[in-house]
Amino acid sequence: MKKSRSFTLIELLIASSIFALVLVALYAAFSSGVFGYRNIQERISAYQQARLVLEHLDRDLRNSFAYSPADTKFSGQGDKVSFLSLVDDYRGNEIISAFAFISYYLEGDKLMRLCRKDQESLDPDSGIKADEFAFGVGKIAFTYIYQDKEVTKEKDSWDDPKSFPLAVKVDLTLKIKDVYAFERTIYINAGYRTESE
Amino acid sequence: MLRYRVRIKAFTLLELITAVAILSVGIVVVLQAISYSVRVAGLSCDFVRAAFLAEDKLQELEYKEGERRISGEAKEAQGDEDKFAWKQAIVLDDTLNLYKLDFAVSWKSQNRQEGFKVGTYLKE
Repeated sequence: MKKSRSFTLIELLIASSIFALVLVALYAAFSSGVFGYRNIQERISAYQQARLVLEHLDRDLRNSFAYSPADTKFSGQGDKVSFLSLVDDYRGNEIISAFAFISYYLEGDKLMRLCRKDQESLDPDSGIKADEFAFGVGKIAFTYIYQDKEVTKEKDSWDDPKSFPLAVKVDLTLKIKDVYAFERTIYINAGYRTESE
Repeated sequence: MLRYRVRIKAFTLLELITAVAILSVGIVVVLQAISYSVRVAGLSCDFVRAAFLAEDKLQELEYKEGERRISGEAKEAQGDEDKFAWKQAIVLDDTLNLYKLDFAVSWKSQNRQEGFKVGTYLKE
């Protein structure tokens, strides 16, 4: 004879409570994974943004040139820097280097990048608007490094129209829930200084 | 009335334990994959920071190359910036007559030593 026996209530309760415990543990592990993932995603997007801004600034600043010996058109304040540089431009199917007047400045929590190409580069009334380049910027600070009698010094603004600073130090702080701070020192025309010797 | 001959065969305990074990291994693997991917993504942020540091240092040396001051540089230098430790070595390569620069950044991430090396040649 086959002995048929159903679960008792106690057995069922024990089984379901064990199951519930396992489920809770699983959920905790999973949710901590998802939480960590969200955190890291935010961090990565901040880093991505910082990399975009700093690499662009780096390329623009390293390509910068002087308009004339008397007027380099380079000017810098604490949260704004403007200069002449070469940018990639698309003409038909070709990519060419066009000269442009470039300006980076902060507007609220947005970093703006003004880029006036070709003839318009020297025309402040051309009506070309700045692009919104990065969002959630808490702070951007430019510091200008120069050499004075073999001593490296820093200052907050650059208004000498006859020379370039040696380097521009960029402090970038992004604020997206968390705060991320980045720092880069960009040397201007590093390889070309000796050409005039 | 229709009559079925149904052979009722339940799982044995052993089968059940095996099934649960396989399932739990699967779940553990999935959870570990999540945590591993998060860790690796965090590591990529460290790499970005370290690359910024390395690029800054290389640009500084490039500037000194332009100023022809490479021969006056210390042969070996090292320093710390936040959690990153960097080390640079400048060696004159006689056959090429160029200075070989080796730059290494290393840092600790979750009890593991991470890092990379970059190098370039500089002329006097």
